[in-house]
Amino acid sequence: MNLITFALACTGMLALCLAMTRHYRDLFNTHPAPSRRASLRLFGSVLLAGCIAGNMATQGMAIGGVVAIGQIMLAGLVAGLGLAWKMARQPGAPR
Amino acid sequence: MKLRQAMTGLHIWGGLLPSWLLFVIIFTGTLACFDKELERWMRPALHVPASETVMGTDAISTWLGDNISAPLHAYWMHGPTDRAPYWQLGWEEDATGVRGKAAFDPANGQRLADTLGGEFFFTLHYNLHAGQLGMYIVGLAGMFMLTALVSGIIIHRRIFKDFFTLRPNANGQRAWLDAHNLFGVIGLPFHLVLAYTGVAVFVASYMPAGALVAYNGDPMAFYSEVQGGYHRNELHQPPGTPVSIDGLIEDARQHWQTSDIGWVIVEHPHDASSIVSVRRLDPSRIGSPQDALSYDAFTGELLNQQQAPSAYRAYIWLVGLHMAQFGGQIVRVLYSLLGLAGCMMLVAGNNVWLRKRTKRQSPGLTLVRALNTAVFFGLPIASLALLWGNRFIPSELTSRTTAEAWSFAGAWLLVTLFALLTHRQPTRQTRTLFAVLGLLGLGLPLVNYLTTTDGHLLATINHAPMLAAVDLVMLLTGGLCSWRAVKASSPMADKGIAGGQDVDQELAG
Amino acid sequence: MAAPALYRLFRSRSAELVSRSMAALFGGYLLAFGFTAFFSVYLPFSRPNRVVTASLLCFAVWVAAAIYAFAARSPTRAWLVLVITTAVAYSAAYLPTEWRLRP
Repeated sequence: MNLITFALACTGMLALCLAMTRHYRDLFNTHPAPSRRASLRLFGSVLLAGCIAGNMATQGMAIGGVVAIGQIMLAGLVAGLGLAWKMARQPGAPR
Repeated sequence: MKLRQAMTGLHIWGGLLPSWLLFVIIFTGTLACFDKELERWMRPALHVPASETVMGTDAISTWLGDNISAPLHAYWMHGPTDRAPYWQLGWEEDATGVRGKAAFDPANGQRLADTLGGEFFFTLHYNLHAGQLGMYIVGLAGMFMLTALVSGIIIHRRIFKDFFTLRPNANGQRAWLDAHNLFGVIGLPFHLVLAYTGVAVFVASYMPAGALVAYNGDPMAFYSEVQGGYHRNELHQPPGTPVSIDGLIEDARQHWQTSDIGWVIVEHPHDASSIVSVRRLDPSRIGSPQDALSYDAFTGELLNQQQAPSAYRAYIWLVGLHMAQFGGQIVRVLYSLLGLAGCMMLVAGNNVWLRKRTKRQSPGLTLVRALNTAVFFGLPIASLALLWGNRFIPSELTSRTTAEAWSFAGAWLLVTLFALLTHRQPTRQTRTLFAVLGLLGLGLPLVNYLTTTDGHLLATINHAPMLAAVDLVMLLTGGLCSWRAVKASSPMADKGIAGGQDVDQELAG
Repeated sequence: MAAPALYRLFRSRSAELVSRSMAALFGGYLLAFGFTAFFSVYLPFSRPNRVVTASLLCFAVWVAAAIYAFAARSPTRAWLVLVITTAVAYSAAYLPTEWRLRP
């Protein structure tokens, strides 16, 4: 279950990251439409909510909450570091 | 001074000055998440899983009576658990206040060879092995950390826009600032909560005002009312015949309808007032249970069940949140990874400071560089050296813990010396030290294989996953550090001393 | 002349920094102390709950005071605010000699 909720957290944080114009442009080289950004934000939020719900269901409110927040923070780092890694391998001027 | 300018100065200096101390505290705290696993790894006698437990608390009391002649103020015992499969004993002498400890193999009742164990890192974390003074220094460092976190939040202009931003190809100062912000902001709930709860653990020592005002400064009245426990002063009468403590534990199990027993504490064993307290273990909750049972040591009569007031239970919850002994290994894995993120935040912050001032050749550059190398590399290398030492120092040596301590301290001193001698060649310095880390990390499982019969990776991978995990983490760390050493130059290493005006603007407010 | 004026400016800047730092460190701790004493008496809880609650909150007060010490318009103002608030809080806590010991 922890792997599933962590996967939800990572995908959710990645979605929220890509909902930001600068990161979307980094990855896809096109400017995101506002509707695309909104749907990415919604998608990401739903996944994060799923991560929280999944953890709380299996480990109770308190411990589930702690695990969920921890996984979400870690997922944020994965998203940020992952994106930076990908961008570092591409040639191009720093923004 | 304007607010942003003032807060920037506070953040930069309030962050830099305690940064090395905070690195020690956070890094050892990270290691201490798995102190029990490390301790088990450092006790090869326990690598064969015990088939049954022959030992009980009465055997330990007997051992104590046979081996320690001085009258004791108290002694405390803890039975084997999954993570710590051995009996733990600690005691404090009445007259001198000197404390001692021992560990016992549950399969045969033999005393285990002493080791610094994982507890070494835990103690280093909360008092730097410097007793009460160390505890106060750590508390002060925690206050500096909280202030740095809050001032950092105030000055971060684009805290949401920059949330995921990391540009390793940018010039050195910008890249390090991005990293500092990434690890700092994404991990902010963790850093804030752990800094605050960490300081809160010793609130009674750091803030005596409440006890002074509401209890007229009477510590016994304060502690006993706040904890809701039971205390009986010494009667200065000779003791009777103690009842079986194992029997009292059975009674406690019946009372709570659970078999998970935690610490068993015997107070004033040589006095007629002696009490045996039994505590319950419950890792399914964040706060440890506060329903300890107190028994008369000679009649076995149940004297009291602890009734803790709600604020004390809240305090215990905060302590529990910090100690991460709840919820299983996933919690400790998350805490340790986030703790490493905290360490990265410190390292990145120091590098921003260095990059900014390298252009101007400010005073203090050499000192900061030397401290960075000595601490950020020294502590991890010393920690690995301790584990290496544990495998090489023979178990028959009486002052085994001293020898292990010297492995740790000696390695750290060597790294410091190296940092001072090679301070003019920073790139080569970091590459060499990464290589040392790599060799120590990759070599440890090999050393393990050569020096133990049941403790090495091939033996533990099947029946003792937590022991195997130690070796696997060593391999991973060693591999990462070796790769870092081999890489010719990194995007973050020596890029652009020139440039970075945008960072200057950001930092100058 | 420029040189003595610059020297004076430098000195006063250092003095201000030291003063604010001392205010943050010691003035802040004193305020946290006064805060804890005050609320250990005036919170509407039982005695152990008052003391524990007030004590656990005091670290936030110390941090706030440290931030204030550097945000205040002048070091003098910072010291005055911190010391006067502490004095008022601590006096209010200590004066009711019987009531502050209530269970």
